[in-house]
Amino acid sequence: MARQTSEGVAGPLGRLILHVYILGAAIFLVAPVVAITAGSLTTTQYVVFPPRGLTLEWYLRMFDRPEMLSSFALSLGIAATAATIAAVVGLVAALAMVRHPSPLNRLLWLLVVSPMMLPSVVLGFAFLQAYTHMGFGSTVAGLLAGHVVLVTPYAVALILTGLKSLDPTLELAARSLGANPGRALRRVTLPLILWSVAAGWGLAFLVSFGDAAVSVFLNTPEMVTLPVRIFDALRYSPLNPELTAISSGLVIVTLAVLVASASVVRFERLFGGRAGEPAKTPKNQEGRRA
Amino acid sequence: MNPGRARHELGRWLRLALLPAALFAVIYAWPMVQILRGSLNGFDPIAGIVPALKPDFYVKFLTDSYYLGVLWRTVRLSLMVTVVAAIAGYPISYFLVRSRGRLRLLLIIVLLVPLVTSPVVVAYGWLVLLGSKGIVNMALIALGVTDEPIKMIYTAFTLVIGLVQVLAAFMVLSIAASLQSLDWNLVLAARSLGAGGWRAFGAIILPLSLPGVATGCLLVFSLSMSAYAVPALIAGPQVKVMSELIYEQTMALLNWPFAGCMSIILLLSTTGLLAAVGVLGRWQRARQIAAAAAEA
Repeated sequence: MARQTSEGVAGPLGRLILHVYILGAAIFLVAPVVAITAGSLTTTQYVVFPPRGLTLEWYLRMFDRPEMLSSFALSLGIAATAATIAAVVGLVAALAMVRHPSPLNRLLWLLVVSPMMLPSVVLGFAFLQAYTHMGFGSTVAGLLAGHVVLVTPYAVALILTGLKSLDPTLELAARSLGANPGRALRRVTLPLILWSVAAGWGLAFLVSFGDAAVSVFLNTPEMVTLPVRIFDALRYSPLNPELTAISSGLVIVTLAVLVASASVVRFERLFGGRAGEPAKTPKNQEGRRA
Repeated sequence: MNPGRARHELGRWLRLALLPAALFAVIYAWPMVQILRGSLNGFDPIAGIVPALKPDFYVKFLTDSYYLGVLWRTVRLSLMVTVVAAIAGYPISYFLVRSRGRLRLLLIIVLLVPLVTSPVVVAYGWLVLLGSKGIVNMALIALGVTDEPIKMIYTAFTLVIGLVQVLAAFMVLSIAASLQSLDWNLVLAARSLGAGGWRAFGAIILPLSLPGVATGCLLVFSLSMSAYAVPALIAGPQVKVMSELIYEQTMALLNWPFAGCMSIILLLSTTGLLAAVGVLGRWQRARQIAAAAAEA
């Protein structure tokens, strides 16, 4: 059925044009990332794409720049910790929202999801001002707290998707077979939504790992996350190949996490109900409860 | 539901949600409230922040043509990014929904790459590609389009291109979500009644996917209004936007009250514009329905 309509809408010429357009768009979307990764292999003293010659010299030079490596380690640590806190908070908040209908859920949603809708520069400024008043403005705790707020909405959104697409009768079946609520949650619900928790963790990690707008406010001269380190260096010497090497390090970690989550998550699920598996509408859940 | 049961429900809700809610009240809600309070303080270059309750900085922002110019530029550029992303993204969403298997997965990953890669690195990539020695200028010279490299970085044009590339995924995935849930039997019905391909598209597919386009526009517009790293790196001081002003006031001039005031103005102008467009859209729809009812 799908085939028939897709051929019909624009005819064979239209299909050809669409395919060429998609190819062009895909090149456009990955071009800057490819330019940095490939450009880091150049033998010239300035970055150029396509690279001239191939060398790993710039990657080796990175080991002479301990501040770059410590920024890399700091960013990995902050991202992993913030993503883990976000996944736990996200799971608990999503369970509260889906399982326990309460007028307070609106407030909870406002608290944990709305940061996604605010400009990160505004968040960064607000955190700097308030955390300084509270006495942890320029500490690791402040940086971590800022990142937790920044990334939790993504974890909540993905875990909510997972919980809502779950058939509630499965847990009811477990309960009717004698499992208590905790056991039903652990043995039935959690394994079934694990993919969404993993996806939420991955996305939260990536947002934190790549963030510059919040970190730029919460960093101190001794504590600089990797994107901010690159950002500052770029303003002085944009075409230094050493920077491309450290940037490709960042890209490699990003792609590794992306591909790892892709193997856990079928991305199609993020679009909601698939053919043959209708999405559970709130209406029929309410019907069951009543 | 009897009161005892309700109290039990509330207890279970609290057991789950109390800790996250309390944590976010401290590390998120409180700082946001503080912006509003702080923006009413005064500032002295030597003494620093002077506690006060005066809207002086709001008056200063709204009467100074320089600041208003930056706000207007931010709005204008964000609108351009939104329109370009909607038009350029629509065919990609269409293709995404109609294709299957590995090709589809590959396209989704291609879309996610600019989204999950640090905006700093992406902006750096554009600097390399579009610089005077970049591949784009080399190609233009080789083709004889131009003799000298064209200055592309540090312009508003490049900023729009860069933001479209970074934010395209939000638009494409929103439109794809609404195309996915569209009832394609309607298209078949229109075709079997003799509608041409483009007619079926214009009469059925496009109108039914407009909610997805609206969601995408909302996301892309608000993210463009607040983008920081991409404008700062590829547009530089020549094309200054609101987020750079806020950063400058906070970190370089240490004028936190004014930075807070600009944060509030940025928030209000973004949400205000979106709300206005929403109201306009609802009014338009109500008018169409009334017109259709009158015809019948």
